[in-house]
Amino acid sequence: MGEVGLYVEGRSVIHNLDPRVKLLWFVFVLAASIVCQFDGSVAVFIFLSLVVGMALAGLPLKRLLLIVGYSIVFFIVTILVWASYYQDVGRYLFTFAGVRVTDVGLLVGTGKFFLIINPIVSMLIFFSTVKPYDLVQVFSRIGLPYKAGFMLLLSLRMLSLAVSELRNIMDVQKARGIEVDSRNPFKRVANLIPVFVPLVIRIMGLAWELSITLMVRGFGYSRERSYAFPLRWGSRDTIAIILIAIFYTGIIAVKLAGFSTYYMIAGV
Amino acid sequence: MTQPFVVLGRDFWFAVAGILWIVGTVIFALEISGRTITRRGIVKVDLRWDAVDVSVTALTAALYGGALAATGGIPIIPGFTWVRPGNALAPLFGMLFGVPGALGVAIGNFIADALTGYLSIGSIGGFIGNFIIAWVPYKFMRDHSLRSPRSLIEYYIWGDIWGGVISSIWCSLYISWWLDLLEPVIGLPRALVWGWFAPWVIFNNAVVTTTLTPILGYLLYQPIKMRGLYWKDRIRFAS
Repeated sequence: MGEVGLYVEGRSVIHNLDPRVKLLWFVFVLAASIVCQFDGSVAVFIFLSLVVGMALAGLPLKRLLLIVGYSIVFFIVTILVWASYYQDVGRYLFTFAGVRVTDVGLLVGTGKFFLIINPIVSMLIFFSTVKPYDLVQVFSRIGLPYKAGFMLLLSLRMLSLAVSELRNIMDVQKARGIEVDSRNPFKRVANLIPVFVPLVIRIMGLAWELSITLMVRGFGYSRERSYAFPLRWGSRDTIAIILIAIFYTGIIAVKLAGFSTYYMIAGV
Repeated sequence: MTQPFVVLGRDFWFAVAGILWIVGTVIFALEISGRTITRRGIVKVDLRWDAVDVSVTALTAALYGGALAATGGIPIIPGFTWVRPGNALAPLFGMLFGVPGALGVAIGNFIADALTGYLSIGSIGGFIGNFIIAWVPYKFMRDHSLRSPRSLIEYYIWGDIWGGVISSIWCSLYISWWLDLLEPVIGLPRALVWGWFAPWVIFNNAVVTTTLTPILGYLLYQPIKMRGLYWKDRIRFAS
């Protein structure tokens, strides 16, 4: 976890882009992934572009591996379920877990896998490289009330406090002999009661202090909110969005034209 | 757990979940805009989203998101089924803090998705689905103290009876319908949505909300009320 929530402090080229560029990047990734959802051999290039994006942002690829690794069973099942719909279509490749996997089934299965994972990685880049302060401005710019964005910002700010309090309380209860990390899942769930009770009391005890702080700073006084550091769209943002648009519309165009990397390599 | 979904089939559940989705979305929009449904119809609520409401929402979101992320994933069947004890806080926050608490639960779920790296289009369904888990006991229970037989009976009717039916099933069907509808955009196979995801969400929520929530509610009602944060002490319905 970064300084606040998922944000990772950095001065990379991706960090320096306007958040709106990264939001549009997500939209392009989603659109391209939808178009390529039946062909994993093309959708993989969208995924690779995001891996490059993560590397450019200086984000540890371990994060990506954790996401995929944590749900590996789920992803394999997803690919197999999709592949099972196409058992009788295409060239037979192999049988796995009772599913007759064909080349068409595998292309669809992997295409759907990338349809799930690509937007997730794109959002991961977005939240890891956009400062929570700027998030509020993005919310305002897309027409949401600033209070909505502010609530999210405040939640993210309080998150690190909540998590550190949670860990402290867990340590204290462990020291008192309560097995909060017991191997027995039922015992572990039950032992969270002496963790959650002090946690809620401690954190909610801050509600009045926090609201007084907000009040004395004039929160809610005006319908419009001003920002000390407003978002500024620069030439590098324009260049970035043009490059992003060219790359993803290119992928969409070649896919719609019937191109498939697999069929090109296989010579079918 | 999956039997009712397999026996009744996808079309049945899609139709039922569609109705619940529409009702849930309308309720969410009404509550956020400061209106609520009562026996007298739709009435205005004295909810101004002032500094206190915003603070309560933000703190509950941080608590819920942090609890889900930090205690999430206690495996029952490794790789397939796990419980998230943090879910126990969802109905509790609705009961204690009202709409700001329910909105905090929705934002908290969104944050947990972001923290665990699963934030995507599907999270929009999870946002309102989690709001509903908190909203149902807030709205339908009259006594939120969980310190009287009546309060407990009300909780188990609206919060959890029939294995978490009312709020947990509503939440599960809400999200599942969204995932089914947006299958071409999200990519989850419909068979997996109704055969695995929907029963799993119900199981997951039911396990912790039937066991942990009433105990937590019993222990936390007084401290929260003493601090003046209990929603009935702050929020009034327009006459």
